[in-house]
Amino acid sequence: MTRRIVVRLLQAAAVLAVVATAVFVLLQFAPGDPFAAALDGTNVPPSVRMEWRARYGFDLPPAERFVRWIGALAHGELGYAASRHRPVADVVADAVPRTLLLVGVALALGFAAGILVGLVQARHHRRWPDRLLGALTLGGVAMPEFLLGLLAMTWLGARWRLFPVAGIASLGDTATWPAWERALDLLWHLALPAVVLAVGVAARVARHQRAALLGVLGEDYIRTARAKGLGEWRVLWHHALPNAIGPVLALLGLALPSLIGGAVLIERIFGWPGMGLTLFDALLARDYPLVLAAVLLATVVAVVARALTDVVAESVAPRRARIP
Amino acid sequence: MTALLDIRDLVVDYGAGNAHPAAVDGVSLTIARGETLALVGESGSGKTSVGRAILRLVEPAAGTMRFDGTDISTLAGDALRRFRRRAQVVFQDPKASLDPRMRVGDIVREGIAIHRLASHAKGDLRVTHLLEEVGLSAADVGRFPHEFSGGERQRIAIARALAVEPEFLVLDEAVSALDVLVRRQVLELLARLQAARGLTYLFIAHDLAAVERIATRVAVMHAGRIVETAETATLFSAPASPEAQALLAAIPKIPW
Repeated sequence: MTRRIVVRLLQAAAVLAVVATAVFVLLQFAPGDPFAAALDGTNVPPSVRMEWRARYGFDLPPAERFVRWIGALAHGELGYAASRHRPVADVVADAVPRTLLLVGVALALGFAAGILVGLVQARHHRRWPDRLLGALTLGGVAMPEFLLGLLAMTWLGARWRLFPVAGIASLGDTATWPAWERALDLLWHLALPAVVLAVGVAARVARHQRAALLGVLGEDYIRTARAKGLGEWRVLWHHALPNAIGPVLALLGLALPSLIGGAVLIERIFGWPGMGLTLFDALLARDYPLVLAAVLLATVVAVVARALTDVVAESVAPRRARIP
Repeated sequence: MTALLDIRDLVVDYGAGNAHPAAVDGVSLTIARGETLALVGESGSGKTSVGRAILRLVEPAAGTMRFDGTDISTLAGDALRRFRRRAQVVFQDPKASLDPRMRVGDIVREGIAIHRLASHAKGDLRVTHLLEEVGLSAADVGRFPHEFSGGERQRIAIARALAVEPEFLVLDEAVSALDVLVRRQVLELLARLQAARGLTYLFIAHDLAAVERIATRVAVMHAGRIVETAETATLFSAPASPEAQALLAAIPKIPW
């Protein structure tokens, strides 16, 4: 077990190194610089621009900048986000919890709903609830998040005014509101983006959960459980589900990275000021230090999630570990 | 002879209708209270389907099944649950038939709980007694099925079946997966339990070797039908049907 964790950590470190290098190299090919917004299109003489570039080290050869960046990174120094006029670390510290909230709620909602749908489908295998939900989950897998997001925003937000169309808090002096009211306001703003993100997760989880349950339902111990006189729901919940949850939990590690990717678009659409929106804006502003930090952070989360999932999957599936 | 189980013209076709030959094609049999009827036949002859139909694990397409005078072929809901307390089953492969994620104590206790046969504390005591009755120890309640040998697992499966105090047991190839010595021990255990609890057995097997010591009567199945039913001694000394003769000829000679 310890050996496996060590191997996982080494793999994670290797992935991080490759991603860091690749992103840095790719950014060299991107046009523009962090001063584009401030200096482009104005009557700024080239000499001023050269001076700015020199002040922030953009005149150095890429190799040297890479070494400097890695060196700073090793000291925990993420640099200055010119587009925000703040240190990168501060921007990230503000944005990360918001994304974690969004992604965490979407993940929890998606898995809970997906497992439930999978259970219902397996319970009514090949009858109409199975077929109806199967069609819906297929649609859920196929539906692009941004499209669903725009539809939800248009109808639930703009037309019917059930939810706010964007942002993380209501306008006005919310700082003076009582805590519970602010929490409710946050949840109200969270609802649409979180549910939209959760739909894709739920659809994938449901399809895996259904398949895994149907595989297990043919086993002899399910027949034993039915012969005991257990009801069908108890058979599903107590005997089939624990034996069929493994492949679905393994999906957690895959869902998290794709959710973070999805969050970039969803945060942009719903104006949710998390890491996704930060990355999006940083890219447009050519704010390289912020882009690099955001991508690296996402990579860390993805790699760690993946490694954790494998470790967890092994510990919840004692058969795989203990029986050769 | 009072029949505990009386089956007439049972058909099981797994929903195939007339498209394929039925797995069970008009089987009639009776089992008297306290006896052991062996149901013997080659693979695919339909003997397991008969057992599953009796337990209502598959739905019969036609025929009547009466258990202790009650029609069991249309039971549902609570009535079906009550019937399943009285009729239990031990499957062939205990590695497959015991939930790999449940501890032995929970496996045995679940039936007691679902049929509300004992309070929680008394249930624990009963589980312990059952395990000891089948030759395991009270310390085994916290272990998982995969920690046991094949013979021990089958003892767990038997304890599990007995937990709800049934009158009737379907032993579906219950000793077929065991090696010859363990098989003899488990057969002895089954015989002892039958005598102590007055159980009635439907003993399903694919060969006659295991049957001789435990069966009162033997029914031979072939292609979904019963081709011969006879007292065990009669069948072994003077088999009438070619299928029974073939099965007898196939018994390996084991010196025990």
